[in-house]
Amino acid sequence: MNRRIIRGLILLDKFWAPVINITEDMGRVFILLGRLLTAIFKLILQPVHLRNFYLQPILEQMVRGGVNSLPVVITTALFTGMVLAIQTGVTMESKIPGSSIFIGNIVSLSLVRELGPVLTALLVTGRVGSAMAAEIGSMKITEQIDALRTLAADPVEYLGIPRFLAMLAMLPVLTVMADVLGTMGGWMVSSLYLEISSIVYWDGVRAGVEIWDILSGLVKSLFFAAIICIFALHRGFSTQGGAVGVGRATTSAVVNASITILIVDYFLAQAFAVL
Amino acid sequence: MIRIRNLHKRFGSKMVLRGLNLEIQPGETMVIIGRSGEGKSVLLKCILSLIEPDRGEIWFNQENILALKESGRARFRQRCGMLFQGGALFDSLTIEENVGFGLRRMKNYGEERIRKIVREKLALVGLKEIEHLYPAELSGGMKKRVALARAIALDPEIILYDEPTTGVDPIMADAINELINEMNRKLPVSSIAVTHDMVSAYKIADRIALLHQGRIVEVGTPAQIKRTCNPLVRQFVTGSAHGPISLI
Repeated sequence: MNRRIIRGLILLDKFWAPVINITEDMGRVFILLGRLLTAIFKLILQPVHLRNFYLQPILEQMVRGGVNSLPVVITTALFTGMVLAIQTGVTMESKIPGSSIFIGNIVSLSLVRELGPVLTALLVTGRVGSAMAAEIGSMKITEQIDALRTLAADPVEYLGIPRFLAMLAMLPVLTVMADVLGTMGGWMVSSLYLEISSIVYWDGVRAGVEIWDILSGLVKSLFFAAIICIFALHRGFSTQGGAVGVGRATTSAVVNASITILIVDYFLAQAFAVL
Repeated sequence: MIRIRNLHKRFGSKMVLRGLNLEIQPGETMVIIGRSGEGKSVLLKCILSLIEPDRGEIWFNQENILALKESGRARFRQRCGMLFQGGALFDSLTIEENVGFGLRRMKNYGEERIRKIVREKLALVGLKEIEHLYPAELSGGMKKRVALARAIALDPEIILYDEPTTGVDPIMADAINELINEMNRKLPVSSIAVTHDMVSAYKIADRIALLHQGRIVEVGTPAQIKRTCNPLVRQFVTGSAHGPISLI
C-alpha cells in the first residue's frame, strides 16, 4: 500500500514538475512585460530623456527589425497570395463553375484577417526574434549585461525599450505590406492564369474587405509584436552556459513565440468574431 | 572603508561563499587569490549587487549595501568601476562610446567635455586615436586597457578588477599591472583585484587574501604571504599539485 502511494506521488511529481516550470516561466515573462510597460510609461512622461537616450536606438531597431525584413515579407506574401488564388480558383471552378469570380473577395479577406498578420509575425519571429535573443544572450554570457548595470543603465530598459517600441511600430507596417502584396499576387495569378478580369478581382476585394477587417489584422499584429519581443528578451536575459546556452535561448525564443502567436491568434479571432 | 561580514552564497546545491569576512582599507589594493571556481568573481559581483548574496553584510563607510533598495545600490555602483574578466565592452558601440557610456548617462556634461575626458582616460591607459574603432577591431590587451579606461571614466572611489591579466601575454600582463599601480598612485581609490596570477598579485597588492572553500583563510602583505607557514597559502603561491588543497 505504502509503495503504491509513493509510486503515485512520484508520478504526480513527474506530472506537476513541468506544469510548475511552465507556470513559473510564464510568470517571469509577465513580470518582464510589466517592467517594460512601466518603464515605457515613465519614459513617455520624460520626453527629453526619450529623445536623448532612446530615439536613435529605436530608429536603428526599426531599420534592423522592420526595414531589413521587408524583402522576406514581400516575397512570402506575394507567393502566398499567388498560391491562395490558384488553389482557391481551380478548386471553386471545378466544384461550382463560374464561382471563381469571388476569388478577389476570398484572397483579400484571408490575407487581411489571418494570413497577413500571422505569416508576417512568424517570419519576423524567425528573423528578428531569433537575432534579438541571440544578441542579448551573447551580451549576457560576455558580462555586457552586468557592465550595463555598473554603468547606471537598467538592461531591461536600455535594451528592451528600443526593441519593444520598434517592433510595435514596424510589425503593423509589415503586415499592411504583406496584405497589399499578397492581394496583388492573387490578382496577378487571377488575371494571367485563371483569366479573371482585373475589374472583377478588385471589385471582389472592395466588396470583401471592410475597414474593421484591416483594423482587426493590425490589432493582432500589435499583440504578436509584443509576444515576439517579450519572448526574445526573456530568453536572452535568462541565457546561461556559453555558446550552447545562446543556441538554446534562440531556439526557445522562436518556438515559444511562434506557438504563442498561433494560440493568441485563435483567441483574438474568436473575440473579433463576437465583436 | 569596505567591510564584508559573514557573506554566504549558494548556487543550487553548490555552496560558493560560506561566511566570508574581509576588510579593505581606504586607498588600499587588496588582491584576492584562490583557485578557479572558488567564488572570487562571485564575491566581486556580490559587492556590486550584481549577484544577490543569500546572507551577510557588505558595509561601505557607514552603509550596509545589501540593506539598500535597488536605487541605493545603483547609486553605490556609480561610485565603483569594474574591469570585467573579458573586458565586457559593448560590441555595437565604438571605443569612444564605450568609454563615454557612463559619462553620458550619469553626468550632465556637454559632448565636447565628454570627448575630452574619454581622450584623457584612454591616454592614461596608453591608448590614443582609437576612439572610432569597434571592440572587435582591437587585440585582447587593448580591449583590457579600453575596459580599464571605461572603469575609471567616472573617477570611481573603488575599482574592482576581475582577473586583470588573464588572457594576455606576459609582457602585456606586466604592462597592465604597472597601469593598475600607476592608477592607484594617481587616483585616490581603493582597489579589489581577484586573480590566480601570483606575479600580478605580488606586483599590485598592498595586501593579499587567500579565498579557499568559501572563506578567507589568510590575509597579509606580499612579504608576509611569501613567508607564511600556512600550508594552504604555501601550496597556492608555489603552484604545487601536492598539498592540503585537493585538485577535485
